[in-house]
Amino acid sequence: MDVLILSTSPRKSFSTSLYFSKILKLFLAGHNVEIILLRSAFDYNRAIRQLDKIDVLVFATPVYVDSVPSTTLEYLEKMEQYITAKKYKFSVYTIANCGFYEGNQCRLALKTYELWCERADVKFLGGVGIGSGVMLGFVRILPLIGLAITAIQLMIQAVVLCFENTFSFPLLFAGFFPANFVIQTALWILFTLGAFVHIFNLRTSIIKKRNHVCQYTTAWFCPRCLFVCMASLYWFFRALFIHGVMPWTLFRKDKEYVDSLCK
Amino acid sequence: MKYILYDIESKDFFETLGALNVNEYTLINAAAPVAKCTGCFKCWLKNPGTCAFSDKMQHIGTKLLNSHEIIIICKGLYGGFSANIKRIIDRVIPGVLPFFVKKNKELHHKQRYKNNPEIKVIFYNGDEMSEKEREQAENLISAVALNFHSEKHQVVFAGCPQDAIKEVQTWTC
Repeated sequence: MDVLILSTSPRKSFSTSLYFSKILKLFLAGHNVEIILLRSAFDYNRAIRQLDKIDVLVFATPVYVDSVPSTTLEYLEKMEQYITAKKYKFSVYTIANCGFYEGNQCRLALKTYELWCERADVKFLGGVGIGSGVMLGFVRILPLIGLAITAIQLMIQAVVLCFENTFSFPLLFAGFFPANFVIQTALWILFTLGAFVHIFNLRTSIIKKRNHVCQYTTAWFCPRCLFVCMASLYWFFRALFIHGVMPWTLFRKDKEYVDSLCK
Repeated sequence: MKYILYDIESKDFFETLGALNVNEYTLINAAAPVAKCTGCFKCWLKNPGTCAFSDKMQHIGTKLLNSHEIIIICKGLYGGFSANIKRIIDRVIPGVLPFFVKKNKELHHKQRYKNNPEIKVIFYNGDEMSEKEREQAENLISAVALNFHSEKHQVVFAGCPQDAIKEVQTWTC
């Protein structure tokens, strides 16, 4: 079976939609699956050249203000006309992810694709709405963070042994357990398990070409209150360490414009 | 402040709209080329409250979310905004905070400004929209109003741009 996954996130790096696309491709091993990032006219032309030979088209999309990003809308409009003219008949599934906790906040974005399918006269066979998208996009690097902390712990231990003039590899690893790596990997798997399970279910529907009634999920083993706390900390740390912005600055007003209003 | 956003490039439309007594409204032509949101989050983290793209829509989030009324005259596309209007809506995000608050049993972004604009949307191709698309449009505008902390919103389906202008006239009189 030929499957084309269109990852429609306009983001240049670290896209959660692309991450979920790759997971679906992994689950569809054995089938002819191609992922295209729909970000430019070049990508669009590459995508439409594939449409005549595919059985299934999967959109992996972020949710921007309750719907699909404006860039995607432009391409959808063009693609609708192209498909209608060519009278292609393939099935369409969608994986939508939103930054909010509740997966069902993707419902309107999924509905947009359903309505697009009606206009393009192709079959919409459902999809998955995944909440906590930004969080799930981030937690994928937890195993790497765990690995880095473990490596630092080992280096510190090696330096201590060198100072004591007792360094040897058996001694360095004696009684050592990479607890940090194991914990971080476990957290990544636990939080993302819901997305994995739902994407796997979608993969089964794709293979059987059956209707997959839209289903919603979010970060598993993470109650809403924990999500809110972790999300706030995430924004504070990201602003501080990546942009050098202090936490209280995040609450500031758009001064330039507010000043102009006062004048 | 009050704003009218429209996505029709025609000069006639602009003149007809301008001829209405809409002095207190600022007209924004969404068909003019502006940058598209890329989800970089710099408007929340690097330069909070201001979009990273320095074009004429850089402060649109602050402007719209500090306004009293936003009227959107728009082509309905798959039960939602046209791509041109959506380009502006996506860039309103700096007007809210990245943090969450629970509203209607769901999480939404906290307000950056204590203001609740009224949102009115007219889809001028209402006759071409299917029943499902109309239903989606109403649900979508409710959801957008909730996310932008609007306490009052209204959706109207007009048959053509001229009918949409007539509707605007009744609102702005």
